[in-house]
Amino acid sequence: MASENIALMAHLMRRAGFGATREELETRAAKGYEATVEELLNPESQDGSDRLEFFRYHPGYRRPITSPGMGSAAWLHDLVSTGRVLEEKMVLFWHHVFATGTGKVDHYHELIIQIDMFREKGMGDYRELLLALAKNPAMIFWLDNCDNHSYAVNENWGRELLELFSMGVGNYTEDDVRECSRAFTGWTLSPMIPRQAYGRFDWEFEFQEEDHDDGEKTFLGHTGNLDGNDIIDIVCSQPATANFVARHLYNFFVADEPQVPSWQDTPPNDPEAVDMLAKAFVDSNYDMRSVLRVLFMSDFFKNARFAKIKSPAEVVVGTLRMVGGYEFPVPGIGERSKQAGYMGQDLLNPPSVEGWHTGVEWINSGSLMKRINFCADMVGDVSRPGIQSIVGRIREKGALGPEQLVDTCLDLMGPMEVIPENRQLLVDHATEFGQLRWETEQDVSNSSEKIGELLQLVVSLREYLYA
Amino acid sequence: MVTQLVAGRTFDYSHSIGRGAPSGEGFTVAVDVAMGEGDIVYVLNRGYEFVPTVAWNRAGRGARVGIFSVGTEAGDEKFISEFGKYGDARGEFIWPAGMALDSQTNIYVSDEWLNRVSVFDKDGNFLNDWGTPGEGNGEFSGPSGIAIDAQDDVYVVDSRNHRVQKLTKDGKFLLSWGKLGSEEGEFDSPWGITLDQDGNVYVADHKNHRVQKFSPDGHFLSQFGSYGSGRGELNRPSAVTVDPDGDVYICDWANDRVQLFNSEGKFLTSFTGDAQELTKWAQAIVSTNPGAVKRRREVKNMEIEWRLSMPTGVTFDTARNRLFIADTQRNRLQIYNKLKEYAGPQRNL
Repeated sequence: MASENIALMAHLMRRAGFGATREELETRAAKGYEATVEELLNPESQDGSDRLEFFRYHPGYRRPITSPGMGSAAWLHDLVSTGRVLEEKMVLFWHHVFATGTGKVDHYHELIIQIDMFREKGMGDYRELLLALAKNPAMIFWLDNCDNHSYAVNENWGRELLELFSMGVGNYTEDDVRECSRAFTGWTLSPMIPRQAYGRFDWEFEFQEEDHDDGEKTFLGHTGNLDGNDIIDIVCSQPATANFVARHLYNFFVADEPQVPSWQDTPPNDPEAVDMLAKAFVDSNYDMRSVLRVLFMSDFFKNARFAKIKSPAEVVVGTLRMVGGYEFPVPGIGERSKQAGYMGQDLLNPPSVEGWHTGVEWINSGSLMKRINFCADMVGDVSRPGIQSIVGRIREKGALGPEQLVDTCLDLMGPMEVIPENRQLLVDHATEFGQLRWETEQDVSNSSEKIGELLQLVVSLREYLYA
Repeated sequence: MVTQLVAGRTFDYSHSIGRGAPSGEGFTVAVDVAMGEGDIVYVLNRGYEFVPTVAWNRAGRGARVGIFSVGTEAGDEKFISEFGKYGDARGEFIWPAGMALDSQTNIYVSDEWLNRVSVFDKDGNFLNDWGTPGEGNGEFSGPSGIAIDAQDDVYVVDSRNHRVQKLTKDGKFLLSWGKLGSEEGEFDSPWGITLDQDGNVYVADHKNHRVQKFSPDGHFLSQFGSYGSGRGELNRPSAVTVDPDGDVYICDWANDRVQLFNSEGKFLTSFTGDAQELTKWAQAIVSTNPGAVKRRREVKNMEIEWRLSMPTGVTFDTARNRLFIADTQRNRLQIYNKLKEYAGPQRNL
């Protein structure tokens, strides 16, 4: 069985990344937990994804046309191939919080630009991130700030900034929404070259001073000629913002919370944990890296193993990374990009600005089937390098009885903890195999296939839904 | 500036052809260009994965070779026919990467996923293919750039094996050189290739950000460029061509431009794209969309539309002394004339 250090490291890497191979877990465990957290928080020494290599082989995805589900291909390649896993996990986090979608934007590359902005700023100053978001062309179009004029205010961006991106419902008035929106008038887009003939062109933020309302405004008790920068300063200083960001982090990294719309009247499952994160947010002057450090070093995080249902993106990315062979952008990138959508999380196309509902709401009869089939297809192909590695480790152990074989598989796939009934199901199946043999090439092939079957059963277990 | 006078040479932007189209009058991620007989121009289209509901080897759109007639004036281009499509059957492409013609005007297309070279006659009829995956002599891992010498021997950039292989036109191994590295004669993921009139070989050493020049049997002679975005610098070059004067044009892929060096390696100038007028086929599609026409009139600065975007292929048309650039992301070819004689206006106009 795996040591406690390996189990804890596996937990960290599932949450702060997308899982890790046993080889990586052993290397990281030797370095130590705290050192690993610091490496994840400061990934400069790790290689990121090579986006240019992706475009060299998939040039049609530089500025893709609207091919539903497939426009996230460049980002999926980042998710699968980056060595900076927490940085990329934070990109996924912010895409969830600041949900923006191709369903309206209809320009995948602008969404990818937003994703790249999350990568650049996602572990830094939350205030800078919000400011960049307010100037992000995809967001401006998504929430209609390009239709927010001094002479005709559109409140869409102003409202969502407060409701979904910072403070949460119940912490501001309708007058605050109005005044906030007035402050962002004139924050718009330059007229954009249309796509006809030569494909997509990039959009650009433009501040139109002549369309900006520079009259006096009163927002959350502050009065003056406020503009968007002032609004974001005021928003960041609100205790509600610290609590809102902290609860999102808890829900994403620690344990499933109720859905966001209920946060107004449903307290957090672990108020002390959320308070600790909120305090770190304020004490660090909104530095996300500092908040994440507190989170990963906390006991509430370390004790939350398998307390979260994996999101579809985590399932797909984690599985592709585990089975290996996808660091190079082999054909089929479009098909792979669709998989999370089949499971209920179409990346770059959230159902609304509220993002996806998480936890048990990821699971229904259709999405469950897609999850299991995808994972089973992947782990059942024993030619994949990651599965070969698992097979190799089992082979090194020599003759194993059915129970030992099952425990070894569960160990190498997690380490996973399963209820006795499920373990017995696996043992029953392994018993039917008889002894694995490795003497001849045919033995190796047969035994590898049997291990592949066992792994398929493992990924079909209820426990495998959890991270 | 659409006319450049540089070191005794004059380059004059001529016109562009193309638009985005999955077949017919236009291109789908054009990655290479080759000159056929007379006005014939072949354009290799990479295509892209598009259809989400079928297996990956049937999911592509637009991969093909287009055959066009391209005269000397804007608007005289004509679509003639096309051949090949996305797929892994014989005569089909998954990742078509490079194209070259032999002395019989047969067309050789490399496929850097299927690890083979497919051969077609000048009308696009499939003749044969050769190549298998591997690291041995005559085997490939990612064949990309391709060039054919006067004896009809074929040079193939074996990209993920980081080497160049020379083969007969039937794919029989003759020689190879190179390995992974950054020293002279070594490569990192090389891509495009061309030959000069003496048979010397130029290779776009993609991840080493340079072009290396070799003798016909693979001895290192010199190199062009170094990493960067300044004058004479390169960022992941994709292709190279040499004109009869020995001038060397390098597709500076990630810098969105073509860099010109003289034969001694001195940097001369850059081509960044000058397509200020819509192509004939682009105009036709834009004019059918009143919204697009209106929006174009609102745009403050159209310059981004003129410019090259990740150009992947570059070819010199020796018959007409002009340069073709495959402006890949914009689905068009930009054409520059290299003028033999240019009488400039008087300086004090």
